[in-house]
Amino acid sequence: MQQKDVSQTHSDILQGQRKIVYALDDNGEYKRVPSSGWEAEELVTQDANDWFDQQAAEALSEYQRGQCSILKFHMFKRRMDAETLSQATGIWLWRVRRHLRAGGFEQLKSSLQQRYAEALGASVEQLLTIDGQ
Amino acid sequence: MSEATTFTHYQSAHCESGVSASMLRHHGFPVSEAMVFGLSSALSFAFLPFIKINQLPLIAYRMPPRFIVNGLRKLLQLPMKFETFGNAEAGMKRLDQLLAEGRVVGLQTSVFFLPYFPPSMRFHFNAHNLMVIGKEGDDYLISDPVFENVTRCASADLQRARFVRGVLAPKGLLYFLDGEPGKTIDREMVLKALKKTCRIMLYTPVSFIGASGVKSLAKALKKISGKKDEAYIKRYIGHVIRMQEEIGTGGAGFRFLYAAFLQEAGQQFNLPELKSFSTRLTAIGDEWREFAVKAARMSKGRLKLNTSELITFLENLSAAEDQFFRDLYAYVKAQ
Repeated sequence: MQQKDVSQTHSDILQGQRKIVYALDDNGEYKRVPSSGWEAEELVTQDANDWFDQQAAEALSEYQRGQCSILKFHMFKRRMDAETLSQATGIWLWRVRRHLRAGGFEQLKSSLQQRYAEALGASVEQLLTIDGQ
Repeated sequence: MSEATTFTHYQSAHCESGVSASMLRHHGFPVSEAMVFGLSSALSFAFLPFIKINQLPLIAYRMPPRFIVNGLRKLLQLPMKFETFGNAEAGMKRLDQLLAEGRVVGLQTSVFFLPYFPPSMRFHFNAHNLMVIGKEGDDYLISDPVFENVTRCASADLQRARFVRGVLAPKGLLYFLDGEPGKTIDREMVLKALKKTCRIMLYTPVSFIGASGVKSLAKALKKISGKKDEAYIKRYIGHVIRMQEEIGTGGAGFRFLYAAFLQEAGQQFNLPELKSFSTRLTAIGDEWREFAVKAARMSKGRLKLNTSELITFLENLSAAEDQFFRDLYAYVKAQ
């Protein structure tokens, strides 16, 4: 890649930050060149984030219909899935799955709720409301 | 804290090679990120379908976390100290103590809990590397090599980022250099590192690592293209590109980073042929970049999904990397 070909798309992902990419200058020497973003990265990162947002939105409507616990919404909201949440809390996956079911989180004893809160970087109170960010 | 004034921030493409190079530079050992990356034989390819990330396979374009720091420590006989902690308070106290001694401290952290990361870039990856160069009040001064400037992080946030649990949990890992390197970089070391990368890329006795790993990915794509619906395939290829462009370093970055290493090593250690190898690898990197653009557009629906085109890309890339490392291996062995 030539220095002049280094993409500068002012990506929304980077929010004004620039990343280093390695590219060749006019003398054919490799240089560290700052880039404000490039299309492929922006598209796929946005996609990955959209996927979580979409899962969170679905979980929210499921929760409002009484089909899952509020934990499911907060989990996706904070870009985790059941596996990562299980790993991050040290709680067995089958138990996490049970806690994602309707009422499964709200009824937990507070020490377990606390473990979820820590892994998700929130307080228990925040996890018990839908607008708790 | 005096450290922040004497430390020179060195922005890099990749966190671990960046931290390693910055630390060495700080200790009066001028070395580039590319040299660090090449010397530690960090280039690779791995397609690991049995390790899932958000239900999709893990794909890596380099060796696993800690490979660079550990590799360099052995190669250069660095008096590098590593410490992990059973409890967070002890881990933060130790960090403060080392900073008070005027040290630059490397940390392994989660990306998700670092507030200075743009929100779109935050995800649950627990093996991000950064350096702490000082403390002001409750804020730590952070030299994160993938960012442009020295930044700040409040202690509660840093603590959370250091003590997350899960895959690659850092357990508060910190590391620092405790003296001068025992060795300097020489020609032998470079040749050995080159051979090691060639062997990783060609002769790892499992089909999912190295050039054959690229082929395995092509096969996997072939397999799902007949079976799964379009939405899944789009998500799958988007994920492949994300691993390449975002989680890896930008735009097939590791191939370019290694090409930069070949160029530098060729000039410094009288290995003139490495220049043309560097040019060849640059062309392979460009090919990866083109693959990424195509696949990303397909995944987003800006281009019509054409899985067989992507499969051909990967098969060609596998063949090109295979031939490249065969030729490089032959050249290096003859030295």
